[in-house]
Amino acid sequence: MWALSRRLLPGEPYTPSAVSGGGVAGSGADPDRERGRWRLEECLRFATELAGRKGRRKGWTGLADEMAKAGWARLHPPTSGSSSGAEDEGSHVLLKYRFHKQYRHPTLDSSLTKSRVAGEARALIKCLRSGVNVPGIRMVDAAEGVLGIEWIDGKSVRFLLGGGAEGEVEAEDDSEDAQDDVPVEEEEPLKEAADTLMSMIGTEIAKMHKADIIHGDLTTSNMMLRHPSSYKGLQLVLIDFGLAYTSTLVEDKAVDLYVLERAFASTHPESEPLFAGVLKAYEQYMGKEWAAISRRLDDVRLRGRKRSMVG
Amino acid sequence: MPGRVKKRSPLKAPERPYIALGLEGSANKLGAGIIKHSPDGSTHVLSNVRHTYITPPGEGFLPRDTAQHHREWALTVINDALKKAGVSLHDIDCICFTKGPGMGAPLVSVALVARTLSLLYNKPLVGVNHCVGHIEMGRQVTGAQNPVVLYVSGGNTQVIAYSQQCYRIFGETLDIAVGNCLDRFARVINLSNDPSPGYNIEQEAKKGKRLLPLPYTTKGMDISLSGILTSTEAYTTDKRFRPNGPSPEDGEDIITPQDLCFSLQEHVFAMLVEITERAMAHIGSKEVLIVGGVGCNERLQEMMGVMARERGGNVFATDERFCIDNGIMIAQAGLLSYRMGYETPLAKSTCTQR
Repeated sequence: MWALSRRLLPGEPYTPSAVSGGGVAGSGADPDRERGRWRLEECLRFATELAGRKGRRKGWTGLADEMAKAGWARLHPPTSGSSSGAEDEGSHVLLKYRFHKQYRHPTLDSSLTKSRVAGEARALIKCLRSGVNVPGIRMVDAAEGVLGIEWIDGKSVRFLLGGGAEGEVEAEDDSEDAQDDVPVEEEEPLKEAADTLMSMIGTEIAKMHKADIIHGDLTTSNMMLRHPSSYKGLQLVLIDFGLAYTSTLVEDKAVDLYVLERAFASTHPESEPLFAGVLKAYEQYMGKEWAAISRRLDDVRLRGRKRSMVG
Repeated sequence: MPGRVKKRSPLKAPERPYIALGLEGSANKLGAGIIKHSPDGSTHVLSNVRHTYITPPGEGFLPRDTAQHHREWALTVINDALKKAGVSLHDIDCICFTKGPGMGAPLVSVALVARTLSLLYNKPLVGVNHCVGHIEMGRQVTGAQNPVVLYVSGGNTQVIAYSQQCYRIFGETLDIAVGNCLDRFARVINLSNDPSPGYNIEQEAKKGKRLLPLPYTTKGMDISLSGILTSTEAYTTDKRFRPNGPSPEDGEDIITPQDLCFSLQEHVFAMLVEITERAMAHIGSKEVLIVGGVGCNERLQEMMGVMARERGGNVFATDERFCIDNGIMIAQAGLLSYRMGYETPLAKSTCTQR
């Protein structure tokens, strides 16, 4: 998956009222819509352009640079300073283009791509309706595997936990391996900030689960802390709903939490107790439902072949 | 985690040659291998002998019979390994054995051999984790520095990466192992267990053309394989299924065992590659190492290669000598820990199934 962004027209983000699995929602007559349509075409143009460039090339190497020259800001590595800042808010669209995975059988690949893009869009919309902080949807093209979503200006929780500092600092490290060798200083204020962050995570996940959405891939990389100076203020945003689905089952919610627990343990080995903070906030928001989920979570922890293989 | 700063290895270069004997018997393969670490830092495989317990088609191996096989063959295999290496047991520095995970009965019978040899020749024992053995040997053979490891075999399916002084499991199967899934399906369609059911599935899959829909179950970085096995088995009771290939009056819409092997492989391997890719993205690594018996499968290696190339990385894989369970990997991992000053006292030379 490659994510690129380009500054588009200012104004309120465009959200199609009814996004269906295949194709793009129809247009209305009002000017706002028309502006949205313009952006939509821009997005589509980009997708086509990208696909065209890919078609003419052998591999992906250098493609990102080429796109950057054509005016697209790069997301990986994290965006440069020029694309962030308050005046740009709401004017960026992030395009998630699911590239054809060459290793997969073409039939399998296209059916997976289609169902995942549609599923992601559906989950996002459901989250938006239920007031969960997720990026807004700008466009969907399931057949092409393109999803345009709102640009979140901020840093991933993984980066924040690893990098040590709170969001205000514009750290220029490569987020990929920053947490390796950064010495942990200023333990106390950091701890407080981390606790707040954990309770935000817990609340957000609880909101999502109350809406019966299962994220399916909860990791600290899939959570962003919106930049405090952005127009919506400091917010924890859940991203990447590529594996999300709808379920009312306690089992699925417990597994979702367990996936996050494992992600914490494997990426931030020193911060394992932090996860308790997530669960606490989660418990508070879930209320009565928590007891059942908690019990199931204990069961799930015992699973996995190398943990409870009997016999 | 792949840090920018190359850390110096805590392991000092050996001041004299070290030789280790490794004994492996966690499943149906009994292996003995002798490895030598020279003072110049090079590593030599002096011998690598293996004997496999093969069951008739349609049957799996049972712990008791497998242990019986290991007991019968242990001396032959070890003698063979010593003879090929041209060393005597007196020259050896340590005796390494598999501590687990694996099947209880075979593990215990091989550990007993190791203990006896250790007492007879007064050599230290080193217990080795089977998974770490695979990884260390894979790294030694391929020269991969800090890869994401996909460990796929009859008993294990894990995505592992080294982080903070530990091999950590990032993703694994939630139910059965991928090798188990393939082996059991081989049993359903009565494929031979010689040389291995997985190899025969691979050969059959090359003849398959039709991709049948099967469940695709990745959960985060974990996968689930028991449902896909059931669904594939269900196709064998389908009206369109022809166990003996298409007959002349059949139309286009038929299912052959080859198609099922093909579909099963495509789905299962795509899932494996996907979770590996996710782990790579998560920790920011560009190297993949495939170890374990299923790692011999060329289709899996090919798919992983394509994925790694798309990400600008490389894939490292070994051939059947080092992929399939063997004694040499136990010797390699054991000797490394012995050189770091680790020994397993006799009282602690127990085995564990997980």
